[in-house]
Amino acid sequence: MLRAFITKEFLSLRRDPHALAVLFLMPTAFILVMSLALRDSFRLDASSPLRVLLVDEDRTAESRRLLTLVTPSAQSVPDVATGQAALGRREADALAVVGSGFSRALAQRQAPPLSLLAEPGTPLALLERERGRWERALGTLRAEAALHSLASIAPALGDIDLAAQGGTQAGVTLRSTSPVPLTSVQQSVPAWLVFAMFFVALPVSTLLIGERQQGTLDRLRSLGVPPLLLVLGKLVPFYLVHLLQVVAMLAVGRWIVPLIGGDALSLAVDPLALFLAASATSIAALGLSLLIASFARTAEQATIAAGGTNIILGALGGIMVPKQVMPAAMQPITRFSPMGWGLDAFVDVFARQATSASIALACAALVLFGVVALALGIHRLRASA
Amino acid sequence: MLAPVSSVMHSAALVVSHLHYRYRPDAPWAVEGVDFRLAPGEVLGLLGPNGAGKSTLLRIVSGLLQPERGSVEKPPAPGFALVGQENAFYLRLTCRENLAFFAAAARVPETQRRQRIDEVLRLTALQDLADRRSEQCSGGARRRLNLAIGLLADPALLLLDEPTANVDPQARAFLLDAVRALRARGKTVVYASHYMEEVEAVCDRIAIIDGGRLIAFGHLNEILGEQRRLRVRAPDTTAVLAGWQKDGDGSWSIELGVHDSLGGKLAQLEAQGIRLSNVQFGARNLEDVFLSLTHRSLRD
Repeated sequence: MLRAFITKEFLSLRRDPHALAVLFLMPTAFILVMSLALRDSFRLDASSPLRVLLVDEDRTAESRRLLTLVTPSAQSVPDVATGQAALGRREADALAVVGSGFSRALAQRQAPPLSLLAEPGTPLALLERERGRWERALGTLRAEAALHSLASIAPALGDIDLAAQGGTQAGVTLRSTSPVPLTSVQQSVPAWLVFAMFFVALPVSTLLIGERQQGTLDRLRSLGVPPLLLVLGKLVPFYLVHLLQVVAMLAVGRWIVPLIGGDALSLAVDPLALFLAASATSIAALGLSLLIASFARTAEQATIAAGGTNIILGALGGIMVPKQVMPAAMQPITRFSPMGWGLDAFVDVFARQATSASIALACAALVLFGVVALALGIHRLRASA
Repeated sequence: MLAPVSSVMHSAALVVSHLHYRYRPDAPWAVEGVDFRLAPGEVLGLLGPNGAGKSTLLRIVSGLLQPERGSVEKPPAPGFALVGQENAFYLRLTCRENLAFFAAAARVPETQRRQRIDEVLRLTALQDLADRRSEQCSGGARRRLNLAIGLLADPALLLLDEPTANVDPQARAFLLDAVRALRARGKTVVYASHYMEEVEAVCDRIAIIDGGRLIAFGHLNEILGEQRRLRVRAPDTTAVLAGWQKDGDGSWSIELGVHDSLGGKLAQLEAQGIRLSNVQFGARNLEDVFLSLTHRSLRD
C-alpha cells in the first residue's frame, strides 16, 4: 500500500508547477547567483577584480613610483571630483588618491596622505584585499627610500630594485587544510539545498490541509488505513523527494555553475556521510512540515507559516549570509536553527571531507528535532481529528 | 416518536444501539439515544435539516468518531464505505489514478483492481473521463467519481452523506438511479439528505433526525400515516386555537383522522368568529410531518 501512496504523491507533485518551482527551481537559481556573487569571498588566491581609478595630486617621482608599484595599468583621472563622479556613475569601484605632500611625508617618515574611496556597494572583503596591495607597495617604497638614504655609505644599496625582487608580492600564502578548499559553490550548494529541503513544508502542509478539508483523510481512515501508514504515506514520498533534491542540486553545482563561470562543486566526499547528512536534514524538515501543517487551518495559513518560518530559520542558520562572512559575535546564532545544523553537516561533508562519525552530533540534533516536531505534529493532528 | 423503531430483524446489515455522542464533555448531545437496524438490501433515508446530526451519526457509524455510549455493528472495513459531502479525492490525479490509489488503500486484491476499476467507471458512467484529471471534470462527474471510489471494494453497506449536494438536476437524477441500482444489487444504503423528494424517491424506510435524536423511523407510509392535514390562514386571530398547531405567518394546521369531519372543524372556527382567508386540505407529505414534529422547515 505504501507504494500506492508514493505513486500518488509523485503524480501530484509532478503536476504541481508551484511546488516543483519551490523545491527545484528556487534553489537552482540561488545556487547559480550566490556561487558567482560570493566567489571572491571564498577564494584564498583571488586577484582583485576591483576597478580602481587613480588621482595623483602629489605628482612627484615617489608618487609616480607608488602608482607603478601598485597598478601600472589603472586608469588615472585628473582630480578627486572627476573620480567621485565616475564612482557615482558606477564606472569604477574605488578611487585611490595620492594626496599632495605624499613624498614629503614619506621623507619625514610621517603617515602619507594616501586614501582609498569606495563606492558604497563594493564588498568589504575586496576593499581589504585592495588595501593590502597598497600597504605592500607603500612598504616597498619606504624600504627603497631607506636604502637610497644609505647609498652614501654603501652605493650598492641604491641599486637594489625591491619591486623586481618581489617586494610588492604577498609574502604569506593562504592554504586550506582541506585538499578541496571551500569555494563559494561548496557553500552555496549545501546552503540552498538545506533551504529547499525545508521548503518541502509548503507542499506537505498544503497537501495535508487539503486532505483534511476535502475529507480524503477521513475516507482513508474509514477504509481502515492504519494511522502509521497515513503518516508514512506522506513522509516516505517526500523523503524520496529530498534525495532527488540532493542529487539535482549536486548536479547543478557540479555541471551548471561552471557553465556560467563559477567553480565546479567537488564531489570528493564520503558518500555515507553525505547520505546521513541528507537523511537527518530530511527528517528535521519533514518534522517541521508536519508541525506547521498541524497548526495551520487553511492552505493560505500554511503557506505563510512555512515561508516565514523557513526564511527566519534560514537567516539564523547562515543560509542567506554564510557563517564565515558573519562577524564572530554573530556566528553562534546559527546554533539556534536546524538549518544551521544541516548546513554545518553538509559543509563538513563537502569542504572538510567529513566522515559519518564526525557529523554524527549535527545529524543527531537534526533527527532529535525532527522526531520531536513529528510527535508534536501527529499529536495535534490526532487531537484536531 | 411518530412511528416505532422497526422490530428486531434476524439478519441485520447495520445495527445501531443507543448511540450517544457529543463533541465536548460540556456540550449538548450531537447524537442522543439513536437506535435502528437495517436489513441487507434496505435503503434508509436519513432526513434532517442542517446541523440535525446526520453527518455526525454517519461518522460514528463509519468509525471516524467514537460514541460516548452505545454501539454500532457493521461489516468490517472495507465492507462498508462512507461517501461524504466533499469530493474526497485528489484533484491532480486522473479519475483512473484516483481509483487505483483508493483501490490499493481499500485492499482490493491487486489481481482484481483493474476489473473493479473498470466496473465502477461503468457503473458511474465515467469511462470517457477515466484518464482526465479530476480537477478538469465537471461538478457532476466529480460527485460520480466520489461515489465510484466508495464502490471500489464492493461494500455491503454504503453511507452516503448528501451525495447530491451542489449538483445539477441531471447529475442528481443519475446519482438517484445509481442508488436504486445498488439497492437492486442487494446493497444496504444509508442516504442522508435534507431533500425529502430524493428520500421519498429511493428509500425503503425513513428516519427523521433533529437535535441529534431520531424523532421518526419507519416506512414512508407509516410515517405519513393515514391522516390528512387541514391548514387555515386566519391573519386576524390572536387567540390560541385549542388542538391546532400554529405554523407561522398566520397559518394554523390540524391533523384530521379518517373519522374527523372537515365541515365540523371549519364550523368550530366559524362559531368562534374566526375569519379565514385561506383553507388547504389534503394528504400530508414529509415536509408536513417534519414541520409537525419539529415546528421548523426541513431546509432551515
